[in-house]
Amino acid sequence: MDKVIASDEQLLRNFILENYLFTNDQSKLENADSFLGSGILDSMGILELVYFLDDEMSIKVESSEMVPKNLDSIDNLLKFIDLKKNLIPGL
Amino acid sequence: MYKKTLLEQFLYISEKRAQAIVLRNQTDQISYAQLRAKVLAVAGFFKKIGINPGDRVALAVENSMDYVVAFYAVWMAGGVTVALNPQAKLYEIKNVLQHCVAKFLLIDKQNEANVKLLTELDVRLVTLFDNDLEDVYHWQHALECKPDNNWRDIKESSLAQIIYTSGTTGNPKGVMLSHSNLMCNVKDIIGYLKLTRKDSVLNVLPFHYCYGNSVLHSHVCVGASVVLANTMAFPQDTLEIIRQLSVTGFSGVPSTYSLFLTHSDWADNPPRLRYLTQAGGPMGKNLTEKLVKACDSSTKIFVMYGQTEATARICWLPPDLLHKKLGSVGISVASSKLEIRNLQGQKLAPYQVGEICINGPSVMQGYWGNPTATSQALVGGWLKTGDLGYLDDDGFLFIKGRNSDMIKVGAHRINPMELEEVINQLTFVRESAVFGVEDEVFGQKLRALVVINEASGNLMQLKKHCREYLPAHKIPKEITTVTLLPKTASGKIKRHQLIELLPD
Repeated sequence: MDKVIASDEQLLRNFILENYLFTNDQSKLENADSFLGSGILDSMGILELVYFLDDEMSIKVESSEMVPKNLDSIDNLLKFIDLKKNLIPGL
Repeated sequence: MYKKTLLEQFLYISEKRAQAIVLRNQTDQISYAQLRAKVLAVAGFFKKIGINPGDRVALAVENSMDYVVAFYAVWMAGGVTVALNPQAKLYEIKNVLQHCVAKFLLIDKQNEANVKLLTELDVRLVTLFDNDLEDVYHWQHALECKPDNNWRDIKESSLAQIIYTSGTTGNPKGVMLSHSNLMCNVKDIIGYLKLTRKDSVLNVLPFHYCYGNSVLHSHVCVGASVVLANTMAFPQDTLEIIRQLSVTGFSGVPSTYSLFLTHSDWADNPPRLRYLTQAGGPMGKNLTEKLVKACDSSTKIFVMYGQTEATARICWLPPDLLHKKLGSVGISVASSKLEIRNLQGQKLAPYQVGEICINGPSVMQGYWGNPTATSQALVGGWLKTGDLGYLDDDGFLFIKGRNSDMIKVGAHRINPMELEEVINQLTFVRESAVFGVEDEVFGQKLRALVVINEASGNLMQLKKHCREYLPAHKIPKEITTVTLLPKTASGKIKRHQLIELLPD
């Protein structure tokens, strides 16, 4: 289980680092950093993140789930993904 | 009957509607009396620190109660407001400050990391956050200052506000608006939206753009309330605010409505709103029809068209005619005249496509410090908008495109040359071209083509450079290398051919 979470984390971190911070330097992104608050993503970026979750991680984000609590940081994303996976076994 | 300026109207309405809520967000609210008290205190402070009539005061502050306090207080001291995107990068802020020779700059938390660098500029700083730097004024001191009831005598024709539509190229365009410009346009808007003190609008539009600016002032003018929500990144959250705070109106750009319809439960459970307004670029017929279907039958949808150079609003489509005139942006606002003209400046007949030209009290005074651009835009009292369109037999305007190369991404209007200037700073870039490609939700998205010198640099470096010098919404989504850019004989980039160079 730990291994799976670590791999999700790396996937998400790389997506943000490479596409929005344009670096491979892992120290540039803290897992608690708010994407909107720190100007990493804007509303278009959040939408791209939603598409990424669907396309690359098979996580479908429902309208009601598109809230900061689920999407606004790596930490929030990991909790959200964990929740989704528990709700839909085998995801 | 309204007062002559928005400031006088604010001072009048804030007494009359003292106990009513003027601004609120999910956690806080402020009455007209409380706002007035803060404005008077900060105005006293501004006069004390040396803001004199005509001085430019820049506000790099996000939509907030403090923004509104500072805005009216600058006017009370006789100053001119220059609102900037607080997320703009340091060099953009610096360029605008230097161009308009700003005497003061207010910054919020978003520029906390830049505060030391900003103190090195020839501008006095007021920070909305605590710090222990010397020679920096603190907002808290401003709020604690003795209230000053006397506003400096401002003429209707005096400069009130400069809005930069393009700030970072060698050709900055700061639109100069007088107190009269602002009041006339606001009165037009109040008239067709039939705004009253009972209204409460949810605003997600940045106040530093003319659309957000007009939403704020038109509602304050009538004693209504403005609910602040600063992002559309989470449409469901924004919709919940509309429901929870019993909002009566909402203003958005096409992408705002697209986001609501695709990423919230708006369509299943439409909010009970009195009015919706849409401006900031043409909304496609499909999206308009979808929006109409998804709205409560009592909600009036106002499709509008405008430009900063005309203060904000130029046209509006009466909601009852939305179906009959689908695709039109409507008729001109009450105080203005509209004509379609050919290249020689002659008025064209209905259905002939030409440049949209406006005459009336909302037309700007000109571009700050840019007489060449001013004389190109203002001819014989008429504003040449740079947009193309035609009028039908009933005088309804249909937009057919733009003369200029500006790119519209969501609520942002982006000058590709600003971005090319940043990209071209890198030594390994020979030249570049930025353009917009269609995007289902945001209208357009940015693409860049670059010609680079023999493998001496890479795209990651280029994107990193963009990130350093450009705010998120100005960073091209994709950057592609090419060997050559299409150009005219005189060396100008053929922008309409750029899309053909993109890989399939």
